Amino acid sequence: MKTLPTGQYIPGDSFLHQLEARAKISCLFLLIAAVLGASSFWGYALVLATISTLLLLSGLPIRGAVAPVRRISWFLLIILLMNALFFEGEAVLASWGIFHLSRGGIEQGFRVVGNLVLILILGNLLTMTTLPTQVTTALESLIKPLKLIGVPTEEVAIIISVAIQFIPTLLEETELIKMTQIARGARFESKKLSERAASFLPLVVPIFISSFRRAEELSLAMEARGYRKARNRTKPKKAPLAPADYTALIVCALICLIQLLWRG
Amino acid sequence: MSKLSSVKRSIITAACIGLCVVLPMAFHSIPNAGRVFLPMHIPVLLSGLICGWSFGLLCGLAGPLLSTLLTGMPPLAFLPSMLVELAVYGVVCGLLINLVRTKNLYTDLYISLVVALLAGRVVAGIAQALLFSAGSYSIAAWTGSYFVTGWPGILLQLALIPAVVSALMKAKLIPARYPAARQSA
Amino acid sequence: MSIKIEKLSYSYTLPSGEKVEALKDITCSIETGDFVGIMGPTGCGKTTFIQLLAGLRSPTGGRIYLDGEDINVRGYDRNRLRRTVGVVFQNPEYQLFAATVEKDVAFGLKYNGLSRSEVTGRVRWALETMGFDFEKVRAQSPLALSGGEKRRVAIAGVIATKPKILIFDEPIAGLDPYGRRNFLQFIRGMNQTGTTVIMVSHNLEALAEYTRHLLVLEQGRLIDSGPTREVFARLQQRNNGAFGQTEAQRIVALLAEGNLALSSAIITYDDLLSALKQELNGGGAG
Repeated sequence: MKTLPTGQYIPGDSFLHQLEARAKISCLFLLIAAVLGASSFWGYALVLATISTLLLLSGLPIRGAVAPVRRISWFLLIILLMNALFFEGEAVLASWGIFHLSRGGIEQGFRVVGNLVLILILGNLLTMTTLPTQVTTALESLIKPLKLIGVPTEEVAIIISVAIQFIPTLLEETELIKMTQIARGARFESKKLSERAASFLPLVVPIFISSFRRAEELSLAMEARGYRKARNRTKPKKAPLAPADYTALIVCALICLIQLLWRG
Repeated sequence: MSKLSSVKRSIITAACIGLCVVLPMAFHSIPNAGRVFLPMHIPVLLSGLICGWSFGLLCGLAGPLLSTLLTGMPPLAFLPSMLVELAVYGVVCGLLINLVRTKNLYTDLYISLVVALLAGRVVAGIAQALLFSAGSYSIAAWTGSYFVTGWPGILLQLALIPAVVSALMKAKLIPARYPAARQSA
Repeated sequence: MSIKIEKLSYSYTLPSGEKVEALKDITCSIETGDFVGIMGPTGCGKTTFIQLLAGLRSPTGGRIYLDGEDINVRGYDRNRLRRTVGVVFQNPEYQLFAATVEKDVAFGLKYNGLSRSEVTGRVRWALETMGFDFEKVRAQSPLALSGGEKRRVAIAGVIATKPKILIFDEPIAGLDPYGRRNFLQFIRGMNQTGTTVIMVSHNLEALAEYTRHLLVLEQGRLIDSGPTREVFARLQQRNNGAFGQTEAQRIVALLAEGNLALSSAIITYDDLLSALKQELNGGGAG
């Protein structure tokens, strides 16, 4: 059962699946800027049209793409209420103590929730059409410019790829430790906070001990072989961006630009 | 908690990032554990305490990001504020454990942890307020709500983390902080 | 504590959507006080099988009865099950967590309703059974012990609850021959005091010498079961020496090629030794 979870990824060969992960992530950021920049009716119409087109292009079932938003609907409701009740806007409709219900507040609430929903759908489009490992590899190459301000980006890339390699093993060991302690009679249902903390110790201590032991074994092996070699590890060959990737980037940049122009 | 080679720090941090993904999955089947117990916080705090602030920062950013990508937890909507919160945890406890030296391991740990946990929650509260809201009252409200819902988690972490650190030292997986003092304790 | 297993199945789905049938339609029973071995190649479902027996996973099909009671029905007292069935997993030292050896061994006794002095008595008994000096070891950190000591403390933590059924998953893997022998003798000792023992192992010699009954798993199916000697004899014929042949059986086969025919009932070194002695004596007389 040593497999890496694949998150929300749904296999497919749509246009969105085929785009390079680096291009997709850059487009995601451009479109998030476009959503946040939208201020007028036409602005929102444009981002809505863009997202609908992307949903169609992804070939994903609409329900699936929207499901994660539905799952947090209670949270969205709280955001709506927080904004509506705490916003100090014009045209106060009612007020109780520190709460003020105003037209401005309600508008503000709907705008924040609307933006959030759109951004979530965009994010889901990325994670549903891109494998987690593709996303992390892309992020590794996108953070390279941070080297200029002293961030050891290569080191970061190595650490993250080791972390990903660790996950299936850690998962297996964690499950085993859980079973072992349950077999010994561990219970987790206690209501009292102090007892609950104590009931997690038999899980947490062995899990960290075994993970740190793995880490020690690996780092000893790496030091023995000379860490230099690990630095020049074989990187997955980066595919050059295809024309489709450039097109997507340009279109997204245009949408973002139009949004900002409309605003100004 | 020095004396660790840089390779070891890197690999320990990698394991902690891995645990940020694995622990929430493991605790998923235990009712309410994830919500109250905040399993992802422990590896971040530990990597900060053991490897230093920069590794804590990396774990605080990469851990939740990988978890969202691989498991969908936390949902994307909660990711930004979680990134801020965990990054602050990692950095602050990593900085403090190097500054605070009271000759007692547990005192050092408690001081670093309490400050880090408070700082993380304040900053995350502010970040959430800025992300989701814009009214003038709301920053205080968000920050307040963060504390009220999160305090059991703070207590749990204060109980668990020193125990894990001392277990790791006894198992000689990390160097002892006060080697001589440990004998008498 | 007798165990009855009826049409037991366990399957799960991989993230890729592929369905894996780890165990298929297993029916067998284990009598009180028996010493049962479970053998089979890697990935045959041995570990899943004992996890089901211990109630750590729920079967996707079939039933497990402990003294006539189905352990997977709603309302079955899981905590009683934990006290009845003890499991020593592979690398049991991974379970250690407490600040002292005494606390760690006492962990499983927490909900047993024993008085403080009874708990101490049990912990002392368990640690002494595992060859420790109780007073010397009780206040030490279990994590700071040596590898072998850690393992013994962990096993003390399992036997402290005096389970009626003890399950061992590959207990002698990674031990040197001397440690292996010692540990098998300990398991035999537990069995002789009335504990039902179930032992999963790759070590066919150990299974042949110590167990009374065998269950043979292959690709999730129970392909053979019965008294140990009979099962080994059948496996010998079925596979003709591929899987499931002890060293002694292999030597008998070699000798047969060299025209020295010995009994086909030989499965352990002891059998082989006495047969050879007989052969030599017989040869001298004739």
